[in-house]
Parts: sequence; structure tokens; C-alpha cells
Amino acid sequence: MFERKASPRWGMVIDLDRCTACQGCVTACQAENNVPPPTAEGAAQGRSIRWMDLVPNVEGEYPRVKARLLPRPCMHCDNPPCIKVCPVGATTKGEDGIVIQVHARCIGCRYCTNACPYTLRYFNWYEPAWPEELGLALNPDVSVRPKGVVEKCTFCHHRLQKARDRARAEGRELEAGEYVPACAEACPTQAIAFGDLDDPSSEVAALARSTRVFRLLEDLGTEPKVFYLREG
Amino acid sequence: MSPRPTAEASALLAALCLACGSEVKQPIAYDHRLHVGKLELACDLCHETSSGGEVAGLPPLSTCATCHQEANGPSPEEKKVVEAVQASREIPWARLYELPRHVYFTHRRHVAVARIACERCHGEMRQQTRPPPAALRSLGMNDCLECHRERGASRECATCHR
Amino acid sequence: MTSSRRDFLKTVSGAAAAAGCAPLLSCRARAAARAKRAEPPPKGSPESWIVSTCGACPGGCGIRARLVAGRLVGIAGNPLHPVNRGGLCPLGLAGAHALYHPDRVRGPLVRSGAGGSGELRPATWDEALALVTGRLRDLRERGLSHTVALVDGTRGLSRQVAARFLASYGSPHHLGGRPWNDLGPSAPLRAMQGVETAAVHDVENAAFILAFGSGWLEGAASPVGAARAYGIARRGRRSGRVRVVHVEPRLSTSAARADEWIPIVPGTEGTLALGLMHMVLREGLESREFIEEWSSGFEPLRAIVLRDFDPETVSERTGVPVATIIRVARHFASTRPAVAIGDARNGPGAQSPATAIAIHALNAVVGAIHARGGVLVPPEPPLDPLPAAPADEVAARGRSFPAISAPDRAGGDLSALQAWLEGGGAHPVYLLMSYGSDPIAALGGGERVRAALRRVPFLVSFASFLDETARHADVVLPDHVYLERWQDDPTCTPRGFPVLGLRRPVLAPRHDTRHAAEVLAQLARGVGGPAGEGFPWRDFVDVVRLSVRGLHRSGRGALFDVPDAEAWVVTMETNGWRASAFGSFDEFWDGLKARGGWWDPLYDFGERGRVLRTPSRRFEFAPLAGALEEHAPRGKAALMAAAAVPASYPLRLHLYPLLAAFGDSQGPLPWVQDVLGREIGESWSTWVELAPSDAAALRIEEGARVKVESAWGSVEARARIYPGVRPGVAAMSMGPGGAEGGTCRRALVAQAGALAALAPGRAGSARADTWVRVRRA
Repeated sequence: MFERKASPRWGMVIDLDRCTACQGCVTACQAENNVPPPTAEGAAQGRSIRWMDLVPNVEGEYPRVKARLLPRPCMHCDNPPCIKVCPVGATTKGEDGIVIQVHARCIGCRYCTNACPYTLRYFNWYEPAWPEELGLALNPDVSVRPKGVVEKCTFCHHRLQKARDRARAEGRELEAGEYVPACAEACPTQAIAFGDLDDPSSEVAALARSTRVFRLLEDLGTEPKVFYLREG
Repeated sequence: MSPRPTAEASALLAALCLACGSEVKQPIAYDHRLHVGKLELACDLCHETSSGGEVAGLPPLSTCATCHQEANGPSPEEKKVVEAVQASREIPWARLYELPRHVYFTHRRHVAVARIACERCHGEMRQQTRPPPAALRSLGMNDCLECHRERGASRECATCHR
Repeated sequence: MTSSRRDFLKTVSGAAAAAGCAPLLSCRARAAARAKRAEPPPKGSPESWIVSTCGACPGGCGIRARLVAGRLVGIAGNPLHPVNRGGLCPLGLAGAHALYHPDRVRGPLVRSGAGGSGELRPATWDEALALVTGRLRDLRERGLSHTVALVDGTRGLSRQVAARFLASYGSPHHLGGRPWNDLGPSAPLRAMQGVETAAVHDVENAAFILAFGSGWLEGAASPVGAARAYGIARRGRRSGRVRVVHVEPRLSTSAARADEWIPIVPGTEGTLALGLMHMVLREGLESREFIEEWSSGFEPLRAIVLRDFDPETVSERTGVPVATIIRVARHFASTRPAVAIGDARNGPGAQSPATAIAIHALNAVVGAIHARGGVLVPPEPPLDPLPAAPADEVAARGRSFPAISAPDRAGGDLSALQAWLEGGGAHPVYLLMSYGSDPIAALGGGERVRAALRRVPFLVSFASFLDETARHADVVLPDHVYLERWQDDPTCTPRGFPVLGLRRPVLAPRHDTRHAAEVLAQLARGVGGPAGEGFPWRDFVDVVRLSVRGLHRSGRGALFDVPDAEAWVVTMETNGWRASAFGSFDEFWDGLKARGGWWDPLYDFGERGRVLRTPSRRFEFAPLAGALEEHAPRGKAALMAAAAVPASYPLRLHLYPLLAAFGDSQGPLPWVQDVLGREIGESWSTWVELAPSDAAALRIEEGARVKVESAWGSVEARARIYPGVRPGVAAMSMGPGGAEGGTCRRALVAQAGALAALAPGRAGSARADTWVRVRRA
């Protein structure tokens, strides 16, 4: 009745050769996940919340300058450093590999934001606020986080809950492509592939075997489930 | 990793009720014992999406109208229903149950798929002659977890939290 | 319910133990108590999706709007739409914030203070319309209908309705006021091919892309369409990966994504194009077939290019090494198909028409015109034209006066308007309407532009947001935002396929606004005479329905469908079958609504007559040769003189676009604002980028407050030291700007202000010749 078969291992492959750094993924994520509209003050202090962020890295000297613009969601590590330091068990890794934050449990100690080598956990410094009617656009599928908790990318886990529920009610297994996070859905160049890394026939599994593949800070042993494909 | 409902968390859940306090008043004193107990109407006759939807749903006027075009008896409460039906005025039923935003729960999953009886969570509604001012059963996360444990359902945080 | 632990820790410490009310299943009263905080719609509310077309910028992407409990809670791309295939950019994704924006104009406004004071008070529609109608009728009765002008940033039927209004009313002044990335007719196509349309570049099929100027990806006519084509050209096709070389003074996002970045002196892209052409000709790599069979007037151009544009001269002028010029020229000419992409944006920072013509000629020389992987001329969708507009003697007389500008001259229209108002006009303008456009901001804003517009005694705006022009207007007749209105959206894909997107309301109008095209019709009826008779339609949907009958009758093309269906349509059409699958017109109309639109995935490379409409029916090199010949007497010396650096303003200003800053039809959105300058880590400020060497010489540190000064004015900014800027250049981003004082618009205003201060009223010319100096504030 409940899932008995081996759980999928959700993962993402981002092809930097397709990406144009348009940041559609960034806004798609913020809209989907009820991230409060950022403010100038917050941005000046580096407090804007972007579960999916475009991380710039400029190297070299004129005229041989290279700029790498890296879309960066949570890595959903197989060996996540963040969950080890949480004193209240507010962050856990599920059987399907998604590292989740339970906002209702979080006490805002921010150990995890420091433990994350990718610095992709975000603290809510402010009461969530929407100027006047902007709050009408809130997504009913995602909770609004209060001030004082840490939040992060969930691979749009609520979409998995809904998709799985629908499949279960119809008495079938989840189909490939039925569950896709908002960033992957919005990407104009289809640079973001998402799926079950353990399913050898899936697109992500095939891409993750590419010769162009790399992962961020692999030497730390975090085993990220977000793979990148380099240009060229 | 399974969650650890600590003593502190339980105290927290209990404390939340302090904020609640007020009673829920229904516009009409609906008799569940009469409808469900005696007339043996199914729950999802009125709570239409209680087996297939996210929330159970409150009955629309059209459902009441199937029987209450005219009065079936002397009850003053029924009279209110008939008046509403004749005036095509929806009855503003008050919602008794509301889950926190950060909980993902669907009736579809629990009723249609897992076939859990309504009473398991909602108590003996079929015995109630008047609308209860508060939920019959006090449910906390522990209750969810206990049932999930019994039935071998997932106890991962991410299954229910979002 | 979002509070729990923290509320608990804050308030409960020491509180008494609780009673037995259900903790998880909390009661409704609690939610009501918290109603002040923004809450999503209640759980289990019914959900629906409506297919429409984005209108945040002129890109024309398909969208699906998610509605829950009557609220717009999300926008996603329409996977069937051939322009974006489900993808969207930040602006489109933040569309719900445009709908719910606190700065929207909520009903008609009428000026309450002195002229130009910008003080407005709410009015009823009757009052506001009566004011405008009265003026219009009065001017027409006095034989002054030609003193009415309309600045129009729309396209398709909205534009036709506006044109109709002017034709029946009796005014020759229909001015283009298009948003920055809505290209409109391309100057090179008009001059060299005699075609009045925008050019598209078949990026999807190109093997080599040579992009000139800033941001062909972020500044594209359809940023999502361009990005999608780029993704396919890189990794989504069997023919291998495209190579991209990008020429720009700054390492922009487009440059960073290219295989090679060639930093260049701002404004000299045309010279480099001619230098490349020189090498192509010298090495005999030109396409003889195209030059001999398709073109005319090539020999004079060849002589000039070979004489004046040798790599050494061009290198000195452009700052590009000789070896690079030779290498890129060889690569460009010997890779097929290769295409050179200019920067066809409108407005401030736009490339000059001469530069665009030089780049277009470079494409012609290698035969990349009307060829797979080259420059294409998209056909128009076969829409039914509206019946001829009725006119009387007054209308005919009004139309006979000289026009401020020929219709639709892309970016030039507004400059012409400014010059006309500043005293160069044949007659005054007594009434100006702005529709889908903010002429003051589009001209760069600033005191001089405002002063010019103040010479118009009566200004009418149809703006949904209080933009700069609306603030100075006498009457504001607010339009719906794009999510609330019916509209046609004719566009095309990068492969040159015509597309007609249907825009339909996803929600009823939130405020007391009206469809501007319907208001124009109402004004026409109010004026009476032929103008009134010209609008027999009940509402704008009727106009759209009337026009799309042409699509239905043509039997060509197909409703939007999954990508796999494209091959089927192409097979049908190439075999001469017509898609009778449309059924009746009502079925076709329902299909348009459900799928989002119509397209025709076929580009006929055989039909030469459609794309070469010059008198000679050939591609004309003469416009370029003529322009160069004009400068010929001074030759090389003139080229060099132009490269001289003025002593007091040693830096060239380079203005570049940011994808997220497009679309001046709506208020700035906070999410979009927050991602503006991500590549340099700036978003809410005005910043100027300097090369490390320049910054060191000026003793300016990273992050310092500086003043950027030009001969016309100065602006304060934050200095950012960026190794991706060519030394000798000060780079600033452009925002579409807008009025000050709104909720979320600070930085964009600052950037528009920068333009106003540094290059006032110099739309179209700011890029090449604005010199600045930067010093610590």
C-alpha cells in the first residue's frame, strides 16, 4: 500500500553549455516557494533569499577574463554536513535522497548554515512581508516561513507530494517527468534535467555519466546529487 | 531518519491551544446522529471530497436541497435549512478543522488509498446530535506518527511537512 | 498557520499548561485572527489553469496562469508555444506581481495642479473621457486635427486600431514608441532589401555566430526565444555544437557564454564588420553566388572596403588585434552556415543604423541572407485586414500635413518627436496620446525631455502604471495589465516561422481600468464623424475574432502543439495539403484559446520576391557604399580623428542591457530587481564598472561612491572594479526607468536617471559618442 519498492534517488543535472544565465530558474523558484519579495536593505546586507541562485565567478586579467555563472540550488548531498549539526532534527534526508528542512521544528540556531560548505542555506532575518496585494500571489502548496528559521531548496518537494499522491490514488507508479521542480520547468534552454539517478533509463542518469560532468567541492565527500556539465 | 518528538515539542503542541480558545459556532445545529447514525447516509454524501480530494469539503446547498426542498418534520433547525434552500442562499458552514500550512495532508491518500475509517481521526461524529464547538479528538503529530508506525507508513519528515 | 516554535519560545515561557483543544487541527478563528498577514488561499480550493500570452516584454512567450480560489498564484510557460516551449524569464515568472502591484493606476486620473506639475486626482470614466473627447472634437472642428499625435508602443491589432483612429480623425502622426527590445522594422532590411519587418537570425541552425554589441542573448527581441535557440545550437541538435564569438566592450552575460570574447572600443562594431569584410574579400572567401545572382551595387563597396578597411587601420580604430581580425574573418567566412548578429535594440544605447547596415552587409557577403542558419525575413501571419477606415474631407486634409516621422521608424520616431517639439516642427502638437509607451522615459528622461513634452498643452496616457509620461499627463485613462485583456500577439520564432499568440484575460480586471483599444474606439465615437463610424465592433475580442478568420480560412499552419507534431504539419504543407483539421471557425477559435495560438512551421527559402523588394529585386549594397563614400574624402584620417580621446572626458560610456530590466509596460518587480546585476553582485543600486587599471589610475576603490560626469550632467554611482571591462570604458546598465516614488523602483529609476543626466535626449546615439569622467564623490 505504501511504497515498498526501492525508493528513487532524485537528482539534478545542470548543463552549463546550454545555460544562458537568464535567471528564470531563480525567479521561478522564488515564485513557487513563496520567498518574500526582497528589499534593498536586505540585499545590501546579503540577506536576500534565493534557494536557486546564480553564483558569479570572474577569473583572469583583461583581456583573458573568464566569467562562470553557476546556477546553484541545494546540492541535496548524499552525505549532508548540515543534518549532522542540527540540534533539533529539523533537517533530515529522506529515503529518496531529498534533504528537507522542517521549518516548524527549526529553532534558528544557524549551525546548519555554517556547516553547509555551499552556503546555500538561508536564514529569515525578517518577518515575511508582501507589499499590499502582492501577497495574493502566494502559492497555496508551500508554507510561509516565519522570521527566525532557516530555509533552503527542497527540490520543490511539495510537487513530489502532490504527484505521488495523484499516482497512488490512480493506482500506478510515478511516471518520469511527472515530478519536476519549478526551476527545471521554467528553464528556457532545458539546461536543468531532473529525475531518478538510480533509474538507468532516465535522462539524468545518462547525463550524469557524461564525460563533461563535475560536482562542486567533491573532495569534501558530501556526495552532491546536483551534477554540472561543463561547457565545450 | 525518523523524527524525534521531544518532550519539549509535545509541550509546544499542547500550548498552541492557548491561542485558540474560541468556540466554533455553526449556523444550523446539524444532527449527525440522525443523518449518519439513523438514516445511514455515507460521510462522503455531504463531505463530497472526503475520499478523493485534499480536504473533506463542506456540503453545498444543492446537497441539502436533495431532501430539504420542503420540511420533513417539525424541527426548527430543519426549517432554517428549508428557508435557505428556498432562497437559494448557501449555508455558511464554519470549518472546524484546519491543518497548519506546513503540513501536507490529503483525504485522498488516507481515505481512498489507505482506507482509514473517518472515526479514527474525527471521533464518533455519528453519535453527535449537535455540532461540536471544537474537534472531538485532539490530534497532535504524535497521533499521526503512531498511526504511521502501526501501518508501516513512511515516518520521514518530508512525507508530511513542507 | 506558520507560527509554532518561535511563537512558543517567545510567548509561552512560563505560561500555564494548556487545555485540551486540538493542536494540529486548529480552529478557524485562529486563522481569522492572523488575517493581516499574507496568507495563501485556503487548502483544497479549486484550481484552474488558463493559457494566455505573456506581455511583460514584447518577446511573445506562451504562459499558463494558475488560479486558485480566484487568485493568480503562479505563472508557468506554455509547453506548446513554439517561441518558449514552456520556458520563461524572470519577468514573465514574476507576472503575478505585475497584476497585484501596489503602484497600479486604479482608475482614471485628471490633472489637479498646474500644467506639468504631475499632480493628479481620481476621476470617473465619464469625466475623464468627456475631457479628452471635448479637446479632440474642438481641435477637429477648428481644422487642427493634424496637431494630434499618438505615440504607440503596441503591435498587431491594437496598433491597427490606433492607426484607424488617426486615419478617420485626420492626423498623420502615428509614432512608434516601442519597448527597447521590440525591434520593429529593421533599418538594414528596409535599406538593403526593401522589406518593412524585423530581421531574425536562425541561431538554431548556425554553425558559427558572430555577435556584435551588447547582449544578443539578454537583449534579444524575445530573450526566451533566443535562449532556447542558443540551447539547441549548443547541445540540442545532431549537427554539432555552435561556435560563438562575441564582440563587446564588456564581458556581459552573452560574452561570458561565448567561446571567445573580443573586447572592442564602444561604437566601432561597424568598423570591425568592414575590417572583417575586407579580409573576406582579400582572401576570396566571399559568396560569389549571392553577390552575382542576388545582389547589386557590390563593386563600389568592394573598392571602398579594400581601400579603407585594412586590418591595421581597423585594429587601430577598434582596438582589436590584427591577428584576431584575420583569424575571425577566416573562421566566419569558411564555416557554413555562419551568421553575424547586430544589436537591434531601440532607444538609448542602441547601435547606429550605419553599424547595423555594415553588419548586415557582412552577412550578405558570405551569403547568409535568406538562407538556413542566416538572416531570415519572417512572413506575416495571414490575418484578415480590418476594413478600410472611413474618412471625410477634414480627415483627408489633416492627413495631408507633413508627419513628424514616417510610421514605425523603430527608435528614431521619438527623437524626431523631441526635435519637432523643440522647435523643428512644421506645426505645433496640441494633443499627444501615449499608448503602450512611456515616451519621456524612452527618450532617456531628464529635464530637457520633460521640457520638450511640456510644450504639448494636453497629454493623454493609457498607462497601467504611473510612468513618467503618465505623471505629466493631463488625463490618464488606465489600460488593463496584460493578464486582464484580450489581445493578439503576432511574433515569430528564430527560425522565421510566423506565430500568432492569443492573449486572454486570466482574471477579471482588478481595478477600474479599461482596454485602451476600446477606449480609443469610444473616443472616436465621442468625436463623431467618420471616426465614430470606424469602430462598429462591440469590443476588442470582436476585432481579434474578425482578424483571425484569415488564419482559419488560409488553412495554413497549425494550432500550437507538442514539438513532435511539427514534422507532421511540415509534411502536410510541403505536399500541398491544407490542414482541414481546423473544423469550423468556432472550433478553431476554441482551439486558439485552449492551445494559446497559431503558427506555421514552414519557411520557404525559395520565395525570393518576398524578401527582396528593392526596385532592382536584388540585395542592394549601395546604401552602405553610399554612406561610406560620404566619408571618403576624409578617408582614413577621419576614421582616426573619430578615435581621438577628449582630454576632459577620458572614458567612453558603454550602456548595456540586463535581461531582467526589460519591459517598460509595468512597474518594477522586487524579485526581478533582486536579480538584475547578478553577474557583478549588484542589484538595487546604480553602479558603474571600471577596468582595474583605470580605477587604479583614478585612485578609486571597489565600492566607492563616485560621480560619473559627462558634458551634459553627472550622476552618483557605486564604483565596481571589473576585469571584464575594456580599459578606457565606463560601463553602466540600463533599466527601462520609470517614475520616481513607486514602491519597488529605486534602482531602476537611478539607472534611467543616469542616462538622462549623462546623455540627455540623445536616444539612439548615446552609445558611440558619450564621453565621461569618473571621480570620487
